[in-house]
Amino acid sequence: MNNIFNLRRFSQLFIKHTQEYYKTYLLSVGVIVALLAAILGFISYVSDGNLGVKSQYAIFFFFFIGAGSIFTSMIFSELGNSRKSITMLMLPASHFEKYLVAWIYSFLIYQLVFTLSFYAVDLIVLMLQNSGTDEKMALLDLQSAGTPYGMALIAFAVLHGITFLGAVFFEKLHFIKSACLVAVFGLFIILINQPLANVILGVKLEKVVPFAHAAIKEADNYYALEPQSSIKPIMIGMTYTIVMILWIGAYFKLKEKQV
Amino acid sequence: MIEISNLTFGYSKKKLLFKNLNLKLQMGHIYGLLGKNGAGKSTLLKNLAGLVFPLEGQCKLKGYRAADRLPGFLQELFFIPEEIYLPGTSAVQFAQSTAHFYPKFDEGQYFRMLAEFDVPQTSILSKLSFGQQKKVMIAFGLATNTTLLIMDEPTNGLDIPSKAKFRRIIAGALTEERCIIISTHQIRDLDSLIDSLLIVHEQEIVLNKSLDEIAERIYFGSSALLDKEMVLYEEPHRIGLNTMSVNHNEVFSKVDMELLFSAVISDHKSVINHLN
Repeated sequence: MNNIFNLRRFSQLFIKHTQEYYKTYLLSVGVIVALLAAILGFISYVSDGNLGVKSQYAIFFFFFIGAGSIFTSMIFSELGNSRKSITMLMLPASHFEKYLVAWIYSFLIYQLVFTLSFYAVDLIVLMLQNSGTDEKMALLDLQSAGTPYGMALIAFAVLHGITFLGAVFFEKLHFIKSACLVAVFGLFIILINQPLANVILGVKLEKVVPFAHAAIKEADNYYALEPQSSIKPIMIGMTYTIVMILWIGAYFKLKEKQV
Repeated sequence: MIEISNLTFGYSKKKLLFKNLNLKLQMGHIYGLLGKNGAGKSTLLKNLAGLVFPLEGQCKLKGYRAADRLPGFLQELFFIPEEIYLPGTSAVQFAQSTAHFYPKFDEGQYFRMLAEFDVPQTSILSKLSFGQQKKVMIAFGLATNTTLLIMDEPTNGLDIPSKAKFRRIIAGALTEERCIIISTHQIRDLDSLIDSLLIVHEQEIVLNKSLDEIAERIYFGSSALLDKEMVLYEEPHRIGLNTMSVNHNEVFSKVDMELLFSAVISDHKSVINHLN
């Protein structure tokens, strides 16, 4: 018997999870659709039918990472309840299989369902908006350079990694505790970022944006330092490495879970 | 065989619940686990199930380390905790979605036991009373036919007729390939059910004996019939004394588990020494 991964056992676990949680998930999709309809419809209404691509992308981006973080932080909510966690941990499936079901639902299925829900609502709002005017507003294209899906995906992946680990690590108030941790960590980075960059470059910098931008002022001249475009894949690679570390951490935390 | 070797456990390192605890449990037996409140009965069961990890030592079942919680181990063990959770599905749907994780699951046995317990098969489990939920869990646990079945306070929430049915069903479900451990503080619920007794007291398993062995060595009776020098422990009741005495004449008497438990936890070493 393979005690790490067995496709049949994994499929059975996936089906069991779906049967037990499909009502909750469908309700969550309903809430997302309603919120998207409300916000897209409201912006279209107050802007006199000028719901442009940039606005659509901004709504897509923030809803995508916000709803995804909340959903992910609740994916291991059973572990915060001793009765439910015993049932989950004692089910004859490996930790990896249990982990993988949660990961697939919170990372892959969420992306698919959210994107489809967004486009369904966005399409209806744009059809209503364009019906009475000659100036037609375009539908959001997530493959365009100005509104890339990749950027939203990176932001979501980082938040997913953090909230996924938080979902296993914390027993209660997973989302709030994970968000607090991110806020404290972010504040710490902001505070040490400029002094650290000053030490590294040996000059007093005017402004520093981590991984993106540094500005130096000499006499009356202002110099902006920006990373070369060739370094972008390295930065993306580093980001996904951090995400991988968070995902691996979540797996081992699940393995070590005690009730 | 289930084996606990050199188990040291505590929720903090400063306050240990068990120290170097050793225990071997055999197939074909129903063990009753007794102990005072806070003695660590539930914690011992959780160690056996791999739900908590020992500071030292290990628990093993069929060669699997409990703390690893591998599927091969989990297929051989069913744990019914004191507080249970059942999903919002019917008993039939629950079996359909969960039974295939247990290779020896007997569906017929499950439905027979549900019928015997008078539990409706189509009602939503999460909406049933606590006692009814407990019966579903007991029926499912028995039908899994796992090597080890652990039940923590299984009779809590059961009414009097259900307790009688529980005893009958458990006794009928025992086979030579199976071991059942029942932890309870309601000793009378184990009457005529268990065949071996485990008593946990002050970080140790102070007693691990079959009821037959106990009855061979100790005579349970009333003081009027006994030689006072042979009395190991006595306890007054309304019309006299309940006594435990050395069974020199090899006379059979029914083991009074309550009396034995009282003697052990009130530190009557003579009783434990005599039995061990």
